[in-house]
Amino acid sequence: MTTVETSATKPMRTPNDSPLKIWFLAPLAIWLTVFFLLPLIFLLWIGFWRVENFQSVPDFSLGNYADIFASFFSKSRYGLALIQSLWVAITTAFFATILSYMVALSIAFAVPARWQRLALLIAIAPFWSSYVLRLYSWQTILSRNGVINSVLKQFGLADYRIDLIYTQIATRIGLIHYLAPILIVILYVSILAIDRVLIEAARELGCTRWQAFTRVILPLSRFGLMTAASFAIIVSLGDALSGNLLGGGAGTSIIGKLPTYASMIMSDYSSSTNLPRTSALATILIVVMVLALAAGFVAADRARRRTS
Amino acid sequence: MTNKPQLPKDTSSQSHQISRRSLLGSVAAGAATASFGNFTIFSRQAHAAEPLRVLCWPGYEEKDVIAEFEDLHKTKVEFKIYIGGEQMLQFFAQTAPGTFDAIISDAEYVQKLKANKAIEAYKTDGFAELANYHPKFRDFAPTKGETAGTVYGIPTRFSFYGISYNTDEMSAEQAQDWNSLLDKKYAGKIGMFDWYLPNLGNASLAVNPGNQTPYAINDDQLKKVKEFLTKLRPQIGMFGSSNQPIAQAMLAGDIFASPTGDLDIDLKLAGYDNFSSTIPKQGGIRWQEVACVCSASKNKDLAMEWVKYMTSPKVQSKLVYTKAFKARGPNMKIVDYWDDDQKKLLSYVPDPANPGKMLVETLIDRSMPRGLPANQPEQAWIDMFNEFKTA
Amino acid sequence: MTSAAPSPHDLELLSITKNFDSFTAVDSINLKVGRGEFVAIMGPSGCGKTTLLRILAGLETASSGQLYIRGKDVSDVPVNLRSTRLVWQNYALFPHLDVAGNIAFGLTLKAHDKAIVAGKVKAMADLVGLSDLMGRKISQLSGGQKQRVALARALVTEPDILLLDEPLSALDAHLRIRMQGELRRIQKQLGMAFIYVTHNQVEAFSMADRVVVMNKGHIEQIDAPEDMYARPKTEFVARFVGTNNLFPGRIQEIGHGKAIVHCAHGQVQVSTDDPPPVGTGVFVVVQADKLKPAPTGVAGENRLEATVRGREYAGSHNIYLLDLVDGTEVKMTLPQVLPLEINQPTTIWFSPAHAALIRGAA
Repeated sequence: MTTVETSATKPMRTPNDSPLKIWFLAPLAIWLTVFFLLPLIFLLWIGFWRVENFQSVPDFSLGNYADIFASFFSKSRYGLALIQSLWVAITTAFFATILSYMVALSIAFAVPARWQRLALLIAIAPFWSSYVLRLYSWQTILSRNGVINSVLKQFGLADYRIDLIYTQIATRIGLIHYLAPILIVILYVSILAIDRVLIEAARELGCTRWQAFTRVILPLSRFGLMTAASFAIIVSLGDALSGNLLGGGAGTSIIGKLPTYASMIMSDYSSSTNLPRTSALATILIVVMVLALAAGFVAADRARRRTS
Repeated sequence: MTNKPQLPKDTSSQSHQISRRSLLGSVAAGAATASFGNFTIFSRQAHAAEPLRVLCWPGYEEKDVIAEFEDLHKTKVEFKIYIGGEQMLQFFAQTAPGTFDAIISDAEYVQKLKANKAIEAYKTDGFAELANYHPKFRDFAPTKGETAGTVYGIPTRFSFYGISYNTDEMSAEQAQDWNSLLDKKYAGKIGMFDWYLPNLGNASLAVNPGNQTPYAINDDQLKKVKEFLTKLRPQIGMFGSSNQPIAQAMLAGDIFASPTGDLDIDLKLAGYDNFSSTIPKQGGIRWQEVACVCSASKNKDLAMEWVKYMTSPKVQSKLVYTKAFKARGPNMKIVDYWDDDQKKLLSYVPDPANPGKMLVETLIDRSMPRGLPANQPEQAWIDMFNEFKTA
Repeated sequence: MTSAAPSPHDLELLSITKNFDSFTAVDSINLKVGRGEFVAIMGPSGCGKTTLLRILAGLETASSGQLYIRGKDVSDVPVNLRSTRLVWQNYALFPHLDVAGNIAFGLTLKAHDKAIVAGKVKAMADLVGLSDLMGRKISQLSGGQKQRVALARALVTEPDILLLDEPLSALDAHLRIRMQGELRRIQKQLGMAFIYVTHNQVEAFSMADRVVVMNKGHIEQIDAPEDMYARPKTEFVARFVGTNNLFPGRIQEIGHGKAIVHCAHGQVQVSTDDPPPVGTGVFVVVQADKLKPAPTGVAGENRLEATVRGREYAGSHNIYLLDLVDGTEVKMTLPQVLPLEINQPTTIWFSPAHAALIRGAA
């Protein structure tokens, strides 16, 4: 510390330092603008338009929102659908995250290192098949005369017939199948980031295998778990296909036989000429998603701060 | 997978495959492109030969249907395909006037097109084939022009929203009455197409049997409709955003009946004979497409020729019997171009209950055209349907 | 703990062997560690010292052999039930816990009284000097502080034996010396046996009661540091420990507590009580600081003609590199006050009493 000769002159530059390097941000900025900001702004904007002679007319009217909130718990009852959506999304995220975590754990810890890539590839293989196709397959599996019930019948267990199709449980199954490959990758990467020495250290300090999991692996996975869960919630909130095809449009849950909000938006859009109103409905969903994402961020950040 | 034959699932022609009345799924999926992406519609200048341009539902562009017209008039017909009336209005609104020469519209959307001054009435005196039309389509009230002998559109294709049902679970007699859907044994076993318009129309007829104008009802009658729907709600097992999931649910035994129209046609074609469909005695809703001529067209003569062409039984016989989609044609001579199987499948066979009439004629007589709410705002009906769904 | 007669040894290894596929990492190790003894295991990387430590901790299972802790056979006791504790090379502290949480970790694994745990943690924090940092996150600690946490976390569980795997290697030189002193102090204070694995001989020699030098999976020599330094028993140890000069030769004559060895550059005399028989191949080992410039004008034994080839400045002294007449390289350290000219011939000398014999030269 004896060579302190820094004066007020301009800072030294490394050979790679260039004012042009800011341009490396351009792809990110363009990406965000074209695929996120512009569509979002457009959607928000149209939410304030009005309809005249079956055509959308630019305007700055709060009429759409006033209408929607007026019929939030009466008439169209979008509020009930939103509650159904939140319930389905949160529970889906919960189960999808746990399931994917178990798969990621077994890949990371039970599969020999050189086979892990292959195991991961197999675990995410469903991702490469069409989502709609997967939903139709689940329909075949879950329906009254479907695969499961046929098998039960074969074994003389017809009394134990499952009635899952057109319930929100079926919706969740479809969503979980859709989400799992992505969540598995997120969680596998976050498990991989855990220093194995910490697990050995925990064992060496007297942890049983289970304690090593609950005391070290689980807390250190928290950031990954939060990320995965908030991702799952966002996707589940926005998805209408599983709710329509497996949930039967207004599937039963403990909240009731209610459609999901995304499904309501879709059918409203096709039933009316009213793009502005539908945009306003979608904007409300986006606000809910942003709130969910913010909550997820806060939780994940807290988890990360604890681990760094 | 079962070893039973599967419903045809030809994904390569998905836009056609998705049944004609099935708006929601594909529409919303295409919503983004619909609202922002269709500025690519051909520009007039690019084509010197001035082809005919038609905005239509899928089916009209098929080679079998249009080739003869193109040969006859040594021209080319270009089609812009839409799925859903709302999408049609948007396509039209977003293009320059004169882009389209003719439009195939759902009958009830004709009034919206009229309001936009998109189409104009034309004389029907040159349409010889109208003589072979079923009387209800020959003199089709919803598209009549202001002066006698003119119309805004002539029907080209139609079918029904009656009750499709599993014959193992529901008798033909039961299917004759909307109230059968309220039977306890069908609790949770009814599938419904997720669109307010046909369903509220059917409910309107269920509580006002034989009403010729089920969409023009007063608030008291509407209240009764709501009561009927309230009773119906526990019976509903699923809402389908298109025909396919409903047909699938029928096939899987998850639902026994659906007020969604001719689901039995596809199921029968796939080899399942335990399905049928009819229109209850109180009446049911029927959809129909009509051919309109655009007021801004610079090619009106050719457009009129095309409309005439579409009224011919031969063309209709192909239009309503494409590989992907089956419907019915208003020209009764259509049977001359069909074999017995086709006639039977589409009900162009004698009706044992009404001597001298074909089954399809009985159904036409019993059905009312789908319309738009006349005495209440559309949103009120949509809200009622949403309330029914969220009940 | 069994009620067996207390063993005089904290740790006893009987032909511990570990094979990985075709490679033998640890080869038939026998070692006894007395009560409260500080033993350093030293050797180059890959010599098997870390594997041996992991076997002691229970992180690896020996392929064969027995392991006793305080007289009890623990060969088959799983890692979490061993009464040893390991201090990890890179500390392996839990990033999701604060300092107190890390220290308390081992105590909270079984049903526990919070007050007792808190008391023990506090006492341990005092012992290692962490009392002010209990609420800190691990990421906010310096290397030395992390080292103390790692130590406290292991010690607080009151193990029979503490295992340390290169615990100071990540610290800077200054801190390392300070921590050496502290480790020794804590070890004395607790009277606990420490097994200390390192590749750094300064650490091993300054702290340990005994030093074990390992090479290729087996033990070369076990001795107190000063004995190891003065009297290496194998060529490997002689070359690995200190700065020794090795002259290969053959015993030519013995007698009078002396042996005369014939080397390539001439005869040398070595004092020895137990000389090998005449004709045995040996190395004469002379430490660099035992070589001196020969007094001029005086005849005597062990005078070597050499040429100065290079000099390394090392503060208080210089290290010279010289070539003997036969080309053998020799290292010699001299105080600054006795400079030598580079590239000049000179005569160097060592006392027979300062030379040792190792059997084994061809």
